[in-house]
Amino acid sequence: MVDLAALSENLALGFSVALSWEALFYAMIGVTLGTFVGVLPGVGTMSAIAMLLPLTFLMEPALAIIMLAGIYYGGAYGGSTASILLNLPGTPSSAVTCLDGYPMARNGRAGVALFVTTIASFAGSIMGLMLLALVAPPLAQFALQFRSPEYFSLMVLGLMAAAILASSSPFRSLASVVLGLLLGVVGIDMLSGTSRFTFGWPTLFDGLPLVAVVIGLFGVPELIANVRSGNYQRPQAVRMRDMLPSRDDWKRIRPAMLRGGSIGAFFGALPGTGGMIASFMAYAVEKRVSRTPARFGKGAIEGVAAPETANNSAVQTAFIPTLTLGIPGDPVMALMLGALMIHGITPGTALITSNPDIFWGLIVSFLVGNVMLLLLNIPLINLWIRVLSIPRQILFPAITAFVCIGVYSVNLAVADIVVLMVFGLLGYALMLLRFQTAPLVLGLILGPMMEENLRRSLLISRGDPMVFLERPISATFLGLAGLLLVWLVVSEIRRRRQLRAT
Amino acid sequence: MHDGPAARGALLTGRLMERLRRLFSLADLVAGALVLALGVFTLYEASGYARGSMANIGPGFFPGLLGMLLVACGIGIILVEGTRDRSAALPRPEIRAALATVAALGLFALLIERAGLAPAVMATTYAASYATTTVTPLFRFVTASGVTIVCVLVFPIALGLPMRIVTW
Repeated sequence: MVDLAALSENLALGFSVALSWEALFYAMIGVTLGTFVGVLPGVGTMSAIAMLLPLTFLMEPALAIIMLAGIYYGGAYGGSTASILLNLPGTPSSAVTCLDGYPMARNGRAGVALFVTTIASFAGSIMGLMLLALVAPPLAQFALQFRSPEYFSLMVLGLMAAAILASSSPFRSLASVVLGLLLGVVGIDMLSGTSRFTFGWPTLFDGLPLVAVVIGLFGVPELIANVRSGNYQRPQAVRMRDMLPSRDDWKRIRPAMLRGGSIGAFFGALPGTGGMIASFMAYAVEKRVSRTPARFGKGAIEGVAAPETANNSAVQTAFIPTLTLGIPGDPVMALMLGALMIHGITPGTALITSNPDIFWGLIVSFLVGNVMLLLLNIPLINLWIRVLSIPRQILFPAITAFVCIGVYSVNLAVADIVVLMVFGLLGYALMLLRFQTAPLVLGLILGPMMEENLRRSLLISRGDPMVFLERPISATFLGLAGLLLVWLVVSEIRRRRQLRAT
Repeated sequence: MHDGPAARGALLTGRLMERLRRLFSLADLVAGALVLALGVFTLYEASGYARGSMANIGPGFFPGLLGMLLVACGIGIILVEGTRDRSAALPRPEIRAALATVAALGLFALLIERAGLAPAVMATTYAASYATTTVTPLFRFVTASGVTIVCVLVFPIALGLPMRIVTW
């Protein structure tokens, strides 16, 4: 089933691209920066990618993506450091690691926890990468049959999955998604020339500035919320010797990693869901299959290994729909998609055939990057600890300044800073009212695509909306979305019945 | 008089409010109401754009669809999520940090083109440091200066971003 000869040929091509000095250099910068950003609570990988995006305009596309991708999966390594040491997640997907990581640190096992997260992250990445290399080409072949209705339905499925699976408040997440879609509508409609939702402001004619909106919605609220919170204890340096897990630990870690990695690979590949939901699910599954579930929450090492494997695996497989179908696997991928398009690469079924060097170069670069991360992170653990010790009173203003400069540098427009302010406040308000902002970014980037595909589908079917259900692949996607809705209703009913019983 | 009609009316309203408050949590009510309002606004705006036909949808079609979805979500939030977690209250907003951040961003917007990168960063960092209360003005000044120096070295000089450091 897997054409090994073709695969090895492709990998060879990939190695030739990824092992050039520039590629290695940018991969190194990307992963180090990504880990650094992941370690810092308050600045997420999304903000970092958004800020560095303008700097990559002058770079060669493959190198730019190698670096940005490095930030992305590097972040998945660093995020757990703050979770374990400070009980504050550095990235959203490492929130689950707080649950058992922080108790482990309090029991004096911080070194082991940190070591395990690095190993688990690497294992997860490799699992995800293998899937990417194996599944992407046949998937791209399959997707050649996709037309507008299929793309539209797949996006509907992805957005619904993002809304329903990612949080316990599906209506809020759905509202987030729709708000994102709406924000994507802002600007002059290409086809009719009508300016929509611009209220006469010329800056909005081209649509909302992406970087300003994303950082406003994500970075600013994180900053505001975290400037005071958290127990402010200085984390202590760990010794190399203290980091190795015991044999008993290893016995628990191995199956946890396998389970976590598979769960992560699945959720990463599903458009709309990503590392966050993957790590959460992996933790839940691990607890359910454990013979001693009471240990969870008090420092169970599987509770650290499984989610970390899951979120790294998801991070790699998120590239599958992004590169093969052009539909982002999660909100950060959505940004990466934007980055690819800015560089003139249209991801989609054509990418693997028209730019095989870019595709396979990326895959091998991910492999190289993960190896770099594995080798770097173990000795650098103490460095990250020291970074986390920088007092917040210095860190917070500094980050605010960097954010301003980063956003301004995209278009050199003061208007972008105003957008940043407005969306920063909006993002904070949404956070207070307990809305998820990640689905919003997904909606923002998918919005124009969805509308275009909707329009085209209806044009081809001459106004018949049943076209989405008449085509089998499209119907399957919509059917799955419908199943999600059913699952939602059922679990809500069950939940209320349980509450009433107590 | 304690049992006149006015007093009885007030008592009944009070009881009604109590019942309502126990049925719906405030956070969800506010959230749902905002989403609903946004949905209505969207529908209103979208009605001003051409709807087009089913075969050839116009610019108002998609936004109209979204508006309807928002209204549905707003209702959903109030009815479904609002009747769930009765103990959920609005989290305490970090007003000081929020104001400091807004001020910081605003100052940057004002100064970056009128005064240049260095003054803008100086002002931004200084304002942002007001988010924390435990530091002295001297600390704020030193931090602001330090960050300004770093930014000037990194962004325009090392990375070559086209920004004027100081404009007269």
